[in-house]
Amino acid sequence: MNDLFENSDGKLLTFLLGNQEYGIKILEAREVVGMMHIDPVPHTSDFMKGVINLRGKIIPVIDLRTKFKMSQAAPTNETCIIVVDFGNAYTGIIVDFLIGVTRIEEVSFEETPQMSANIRAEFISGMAKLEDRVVIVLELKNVLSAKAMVNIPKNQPEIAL
Amino acid sequence: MMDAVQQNQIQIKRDALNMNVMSLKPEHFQDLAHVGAILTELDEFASLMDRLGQLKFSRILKELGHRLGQIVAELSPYESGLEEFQQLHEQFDNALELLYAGDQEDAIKILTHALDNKSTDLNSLELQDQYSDYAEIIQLCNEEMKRDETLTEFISETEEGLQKTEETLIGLEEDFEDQKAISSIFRVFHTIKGTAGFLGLTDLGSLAHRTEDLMVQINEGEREITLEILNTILCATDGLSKLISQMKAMIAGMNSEPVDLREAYQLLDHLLNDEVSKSTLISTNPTPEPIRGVPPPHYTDQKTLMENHPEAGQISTSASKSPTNEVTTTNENVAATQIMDMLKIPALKLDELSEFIGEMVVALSVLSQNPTIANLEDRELHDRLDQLNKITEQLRDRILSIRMFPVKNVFSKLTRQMRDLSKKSGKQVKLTIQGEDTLVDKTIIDSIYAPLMHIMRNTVDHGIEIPEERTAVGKSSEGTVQLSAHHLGDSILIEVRDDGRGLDRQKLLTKAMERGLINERENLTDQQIFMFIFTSGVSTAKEVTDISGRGVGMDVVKKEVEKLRGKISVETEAGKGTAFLIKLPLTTSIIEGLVVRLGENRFVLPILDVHLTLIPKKDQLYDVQDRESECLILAGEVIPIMRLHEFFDVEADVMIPEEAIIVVVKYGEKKYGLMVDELLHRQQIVVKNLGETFVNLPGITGGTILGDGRVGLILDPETLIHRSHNINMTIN
Repeated sequence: MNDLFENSDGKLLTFLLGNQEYGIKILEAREVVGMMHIDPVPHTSDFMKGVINLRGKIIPVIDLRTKFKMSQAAPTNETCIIVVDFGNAYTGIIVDFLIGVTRIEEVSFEETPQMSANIRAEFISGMAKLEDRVVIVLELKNVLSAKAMVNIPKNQPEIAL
Repeated sequence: MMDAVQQNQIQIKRDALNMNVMSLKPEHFQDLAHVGAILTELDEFASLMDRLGQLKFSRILKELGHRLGQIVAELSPYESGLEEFQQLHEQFDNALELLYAGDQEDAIKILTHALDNKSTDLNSLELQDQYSDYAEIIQLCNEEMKRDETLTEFISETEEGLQKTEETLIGLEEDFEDQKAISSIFRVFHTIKGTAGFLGLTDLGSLAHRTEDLMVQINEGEREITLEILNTILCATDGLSKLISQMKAMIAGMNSEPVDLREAYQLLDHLLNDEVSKSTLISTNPTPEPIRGVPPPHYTDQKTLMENHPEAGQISTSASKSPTNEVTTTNENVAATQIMDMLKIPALKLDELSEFIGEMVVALSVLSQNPTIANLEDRELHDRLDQLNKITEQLRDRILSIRMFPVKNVFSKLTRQMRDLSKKSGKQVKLTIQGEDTLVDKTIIDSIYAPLMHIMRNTVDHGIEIPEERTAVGKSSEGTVQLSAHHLGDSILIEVRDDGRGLDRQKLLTKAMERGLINERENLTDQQIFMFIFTSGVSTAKEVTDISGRGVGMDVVKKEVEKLRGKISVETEAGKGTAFLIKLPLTTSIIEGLVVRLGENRFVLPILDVHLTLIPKKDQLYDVQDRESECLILAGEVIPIMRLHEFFDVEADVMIPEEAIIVVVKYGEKKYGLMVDELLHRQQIVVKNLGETFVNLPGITGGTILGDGRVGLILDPETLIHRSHNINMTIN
């Protein structure tokens, strides 16, 4: 998390999922695109929505709502895809509403606090208290861990020789 | 008498030379790299013999080099010249044998005899009357070379090398101990010397040679680097650059100033503690018209070039005429436009280009397919769009063609290896090559050598029998391996075919069973059994040998080929031989694909994998156990049907095979029918990596952007089938 203050100068790109505000380090965000058609990829986890064509690059898109076990919501005009650059690969994450860039002070940041939220602690790097709101800062490394994405069913339908 | 160390030194050189000389074929004379390698070897061998005091031997080696140069320069005919060359080499080799046995006297006799017999002795070249003929021929040859890529290539390579040397020299000034820099400089001069040597550019060659001598001393630690040395090398580099510029100017038919090499030679001679060398003597001797008379060895090339272009004026190394020796900039510019300029470009840039052009083709088709545009009744607009399409496609083809190279390079490397292999294995193997001019993508060229090498090894080691065994079954004692390449539609087929004993079906079967790959009850076709050769841990060699036979390898070969999106298969007949067939796409980045629909999803099947497509008739479908329509009978062959929607767990419109379209894909000799809703179209697609996220997805190898800008997944029938096959086997 050090690089949040060292490299990103405490700047977060924040967005809403449901009513909760989340943030990712500004350096991890590449761009924001509107919701577009996502082509599903078989044998992947439910939160892996599929792939999009980002100006000729094929990038995977994950749905944070599903990942965080929140209820599903139909996409609205506000729904958008934040393209993050993580581990030399672009990944899109679907969020409900983009808020913008927020700067937080190191003193107001608390690392991995006790959370009552329904998302797993390893997905969270910490929490930032601002004047009127609280931002959950995500640990993208764990959210986007590639291992969890491919889901090959063990019991394949039998196909005769 | 020589000691063991010396003999060993000689033997290493001798082996290398023998191999190269034996494998030398007339067609190699178009390939500078191969001949250049031999020349370098001869040269190194000669200096070794010089050091060992075997002057006669070194003399013969030089003669051999000279002859080779003559053949390359087309002064001797390829066939007979090569024959004579090889004869002389044989005599040399015999003499070496005698030398080993301590019979120095007889060895010398043989050598003297060999030298006397040859009319084109080095000495005779210096005879005046012979020389004029020689000059004329060189002149003709140079005339030809003007149009020849070889010279152009040499010029651009030398320029590049010299520029690099200059940079390296500057670096060396900071750090005299930089071994890497020293050897890099050494290599540059060495290459220039070698290539200039057989292009007949003695002027360049001898200056490079002198400099190389100096570098050798430094390289071997006999001399410390000093600023003086660096300065000398820099001066020599300058001299070479000027000679190159002069050459360019002359080829372009421009006037050019004489080049003064005095300083460079003086500095070099001073350092090398030589008496004023012959070359310096001549260079200080103003001979403006040196056509007759003993020619100064280091300006033959200039002279002959000048003869082609009398307007080039007096060219000599004579400094008295023009101590400032710059070629004027204008001349150089013009020259540069006349000689085809070569650029070295990082492959990555080309890849980017081909990716972008791929995108452009797609973007354009998205545009053309746009309903608003498609419905417009504007003829001019459509004409323009068509034109744009055509241009774009041409552009794409051009860009792709930049990446294409003949497989020759790989094949000639293999030829050399083959010599070595057959020697090591004690078997007699003849390698024939076909289709070495077939063009293939650079990626494939780069990665196909290792797999092919491995197959060759297996072939020599396991396939070809020992001579006695061969004669016993009525074959000729010499085995034949045929290496060929040719285009087959959108792909290239590389074959390695031998006339050996063939694969041993029973042994493969036993091994496969031992490793638990199959059980005894299974009824496999021969082809299925032979495919086991590509499975890890199955190797049929009885003993592990030096060359191959550890049971790893053929599976690696298969993986390598698959990485290139290719297929490998094997054909074999007991006692008759084995053939490995490698089918590869022409390029790895763009493939021809069949776009199919499955519900909402669209998948792309590489055309290489598609055998045929059909709508099955009721009587072609057969039930298996309690499942309906599990198999398709096609021309007597049972083809299992794979319900793609079930495998991928996606919604499909058509759930029963008789209403669906079946795409029959071929995997090895095995065919599978994939059930899809609809065939959309056939198109060229740019293959894109899906990234690490999807690295182990079964049945999918990549993605592509389809005509409407959305993503289509590329199916990999092989893992599809493999996976379902495996599942099936475990269930069984």
